[in-house]
Amino acid sequence: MLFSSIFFLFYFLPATLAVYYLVPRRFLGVRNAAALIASLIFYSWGEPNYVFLMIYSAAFNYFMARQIRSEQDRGGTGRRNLVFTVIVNLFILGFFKYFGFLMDTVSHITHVNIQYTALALPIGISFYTFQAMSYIIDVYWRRVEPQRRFLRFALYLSLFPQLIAGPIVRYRDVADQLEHRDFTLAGFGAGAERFIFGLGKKVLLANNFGALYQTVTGLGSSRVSVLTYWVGIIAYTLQIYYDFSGYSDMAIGLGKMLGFDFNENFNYPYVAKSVTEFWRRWHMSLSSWFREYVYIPLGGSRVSAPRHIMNLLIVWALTGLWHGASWNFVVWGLYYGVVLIIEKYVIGKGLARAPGAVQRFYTLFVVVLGWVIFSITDLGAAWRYLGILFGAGNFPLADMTTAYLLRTHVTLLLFGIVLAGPTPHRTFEAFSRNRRLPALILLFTVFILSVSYLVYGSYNPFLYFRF
Amino acid sequence: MRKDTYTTPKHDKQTTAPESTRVTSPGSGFRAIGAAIVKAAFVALLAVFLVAVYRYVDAKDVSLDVMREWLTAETDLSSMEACDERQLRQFIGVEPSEYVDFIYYKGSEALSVDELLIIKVEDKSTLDGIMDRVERRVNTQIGAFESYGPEQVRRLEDAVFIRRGNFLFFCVADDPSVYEEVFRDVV
Repeated sequence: MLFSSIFFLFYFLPATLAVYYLVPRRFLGVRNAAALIASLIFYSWGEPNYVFLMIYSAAFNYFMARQIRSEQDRGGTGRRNLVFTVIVNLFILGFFKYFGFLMDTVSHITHVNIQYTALALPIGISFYTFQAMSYIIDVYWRRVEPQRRFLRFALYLSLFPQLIAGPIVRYRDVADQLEHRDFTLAGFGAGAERFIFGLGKKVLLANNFGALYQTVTGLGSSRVSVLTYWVGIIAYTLQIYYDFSGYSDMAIGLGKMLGFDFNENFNYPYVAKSVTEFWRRWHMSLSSWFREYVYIPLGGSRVSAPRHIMNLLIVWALTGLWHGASWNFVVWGLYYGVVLIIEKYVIGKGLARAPGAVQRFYTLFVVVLGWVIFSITDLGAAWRYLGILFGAGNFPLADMTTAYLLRTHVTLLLFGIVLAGPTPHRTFEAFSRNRRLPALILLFTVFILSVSYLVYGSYNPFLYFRF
Repeated sequence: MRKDTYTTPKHDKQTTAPESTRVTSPGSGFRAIGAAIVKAAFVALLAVFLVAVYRYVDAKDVSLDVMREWLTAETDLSSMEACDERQLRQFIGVEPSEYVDFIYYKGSEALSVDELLIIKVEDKSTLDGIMDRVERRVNTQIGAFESYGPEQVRRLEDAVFIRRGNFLFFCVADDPSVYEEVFRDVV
């Protein structure tokens, strides 16, 4: 089920909120149960079989966390149980996500045609597996106490706002909220506002940028030009930002409507002044997960330079692989690993002294090129696209198609570029503090426009669902 | 990557407590056995689930002639007409070299978007490319009908795609589950 679907907006969400808030607030356990049931229905809507996998994951990690703590309380380390739990979690993730990739790679290397059955990827498996592992590792490190009640832990893992495309919520960030949380009208209103803006980002912006990108990649070779390809990848750059940050806004907003506070996942990444800073602003929950549970345990930056470089490459190869079972994602991850190493050891100081405009241009240039590798799973096709961006292939600099695409999309592109910065949102915040009615009218307009698009538009799932 | 401000939690460097300081109780042995049994049960349950999932998505190596017989017997195909290789290439873009056999029906009326396609391939990896083209076909059809054919768009959005073993099933119809059921029964 998509947040940006008529069924979710007009049936599932109102019904869930009605049941949830009909339960008196003193019966938080019953509200939790209502949220859990809604989450399981939400998840099983598209893929009923895999809901059992998620319930299994919840039961297994719940039990193992208690085992680890029980062993520690008896004087042991709990390390064997930790390793066992992490292996089972990674095995499940690997079986569904990387089995086909592994078989294809082995087939390619050995030239043996290995027959296997490709399995559908359980939606959100990368997100909830990482949440479960953060919980287990935090219990092992004694950062949190294991949850005593299975229902609460199952709710943490399956809560529908963040279930299928994040943010990756650490257990310790919501542990208290599972037991005590505030329900205020102001909080609900802020959540609804956030949700509507997220919906607008997805439906009004991301889907239209996606259509523009599809148009460009679908062009026959006679209509390809350098500038057209730049327009295409800039459209994708904006699409993936509005798609994913829109989903995160909706998730955070829905969380607030249910009384939960999730951490932010985006902080205007395209205004970053370095690629290092970009990754502090983009998909922050994933970056912090890898930093906390992989990079720092490997030694982080407090090691020799060669080891540090190795740590960065490992973390970024894994970050790439997390995004998908395909070599282009690994290359994309390593691309960032290499760029970050260069920033750290070669150009970092010089970049810090450069004018802001140069810093931003450099960052966007690196990021936009990265999206070419990310968006095109066939590496050969990605190289061809990159080549054309820099004039390879004797294509014209621009042609009638470029002019047509720019003329028909200039407003959309300008909106997309301006809204990607913090100024419009800050202006709205300041404006809405004193003028509630115009702010409400704006929100209502965004909602109505988004619904209109949904009624007449075609199916557009979120890009991050496939991860 | 941000420069570290974290420190690895102290508990990461845990060491096993000396035997003399370990807390033991008469029931700890039974508890350990109980925990081991539960862990084994979890692993067994996972194995059963994975095997079941794998078997569910795998398919028998049946001939499409069997599928044709079942479809004719169990469903009503009168509103659609059977298409040949040329039409499969024209509408979906699939070449004969890519498949072993196929069943392709298309709505006979001008404004019909109904389609039923079952393709059997030699190598499962071929299905990736075919699947892309089928999805592109659906998107193109949605684009063609979205301004004036809400019923057609509804059917296209409810299109069913199934990959099982060496087969791809694709159907756009008022009720695609009728054909889907036959496909699942046969493979």
